Amino acid sequence: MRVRIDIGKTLRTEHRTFDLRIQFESSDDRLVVFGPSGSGKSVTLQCMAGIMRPDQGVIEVNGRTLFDSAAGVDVPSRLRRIGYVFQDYALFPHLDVTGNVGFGLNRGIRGRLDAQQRQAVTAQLELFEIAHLAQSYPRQLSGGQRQRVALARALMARPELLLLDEPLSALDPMLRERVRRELLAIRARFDVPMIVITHDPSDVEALAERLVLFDQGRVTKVMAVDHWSELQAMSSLYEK
Amino acid sequence: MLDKAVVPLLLTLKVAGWATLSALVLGVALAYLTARLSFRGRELLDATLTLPMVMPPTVLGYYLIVVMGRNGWLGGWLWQNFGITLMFTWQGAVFAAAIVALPLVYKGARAAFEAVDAHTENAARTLGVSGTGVFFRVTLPLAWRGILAGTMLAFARAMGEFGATLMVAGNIPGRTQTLSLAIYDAVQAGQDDLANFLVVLTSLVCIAILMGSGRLLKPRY
Repeated sequence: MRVRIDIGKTLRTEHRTFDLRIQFESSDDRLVVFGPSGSGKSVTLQCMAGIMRPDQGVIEVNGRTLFDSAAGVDVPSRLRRIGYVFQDYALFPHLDVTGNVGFGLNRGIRGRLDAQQRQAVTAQLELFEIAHLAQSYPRQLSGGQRQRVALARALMARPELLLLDEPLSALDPMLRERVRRELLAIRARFDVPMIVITHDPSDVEALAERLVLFDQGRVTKVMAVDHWSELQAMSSLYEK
Repeated sequence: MLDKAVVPLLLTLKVAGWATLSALVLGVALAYLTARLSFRGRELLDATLTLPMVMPPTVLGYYLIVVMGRNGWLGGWLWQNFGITLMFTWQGAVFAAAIVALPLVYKGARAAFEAVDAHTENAARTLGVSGTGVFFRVTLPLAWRGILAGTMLAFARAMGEFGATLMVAGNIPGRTQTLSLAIYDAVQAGQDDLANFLVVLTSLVCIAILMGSGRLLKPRY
């Protein structure tokens, strides 16, 4: 995967103005975006997925220009082939697990699945070990189960790139270690590059090949994760 | 006495039904517009659409006459070019009742649309579904209960509509005389038996509607 981002966006609320200027490139399959809350991590990923629109700049994924303000390019979200797992998972509360995971298979107005598509969904549910939940609704699921549904749903669309916004923050600390291993296994199995947002240093250690540090709407550092000392430095940065 | 009640009852259901349907289509469209787009004059539009709820029905009826009357700016054009007028017709009663019922649908639908989590819609988009698909498969199903609640209230309001209907459609037995107008007539004429019967009938119909909508509104998920 090759990602190139060079965007600017100004967000205004009643009380403050937040100025985002983000610039980084990467060709790693496991990229972790790390930084304190409010440093612009989510906004950047949402710009990549086409959920938010930068004021200006360029976004390229695998040589495909998804956004280029100068050239007037803004590929709609549905055509970007970028999977997004939201922090609160954003499952469809009115659909059961099958309906959630199979949502993108039929893109029409009614969205009914044919036999073949239902089979594909069942296979996906088995792969994620949630086949027994096929008829359950999101509100009946535990946090860990919801997360699996969200992942299965995002990967059902065979995205070129998977974005995860703090995928572990809503989980029990006991569960996190296991889910980190599962995430890595899933990434390898689907052979999909991923970008993970976190502010937990243990996620960095487990998930990252390369690390992008965010602070106050800027990228402060891009580095490979192979030295514990660097991680230590980062932890102290985090403490501060 | 029964046939004196059946004619206004059927007319009332017809008028309230069409009025609710018109208010539903228009109210949902306007609610989606104001809930999702921010444009100049949005809050002014919101206030204008809510106005029929707070203004006396007679004031509203007067406005409708000014606009839709044979000398009104829209009614006059219709009358001169097509020979059509809404004044003193059941369609006029539908028009008056629809305007009165509109805010109830609109307010309910706007609140319902605003309560839909933006991220569920965004998630649907990243899964490759078009804007129309997202509306019919995510937004509308999630907002549906709020819209339905507003619609039921709108129907009840349209059934009870009196003032604006009287001014626009008049009180013509068999043509524009709805239940509430018939009750007023019966009381004026000292026909207490008929008035009692009509009042009980109206109450029963309203209770049936509210109980039916209560069942529809039970949460499913």
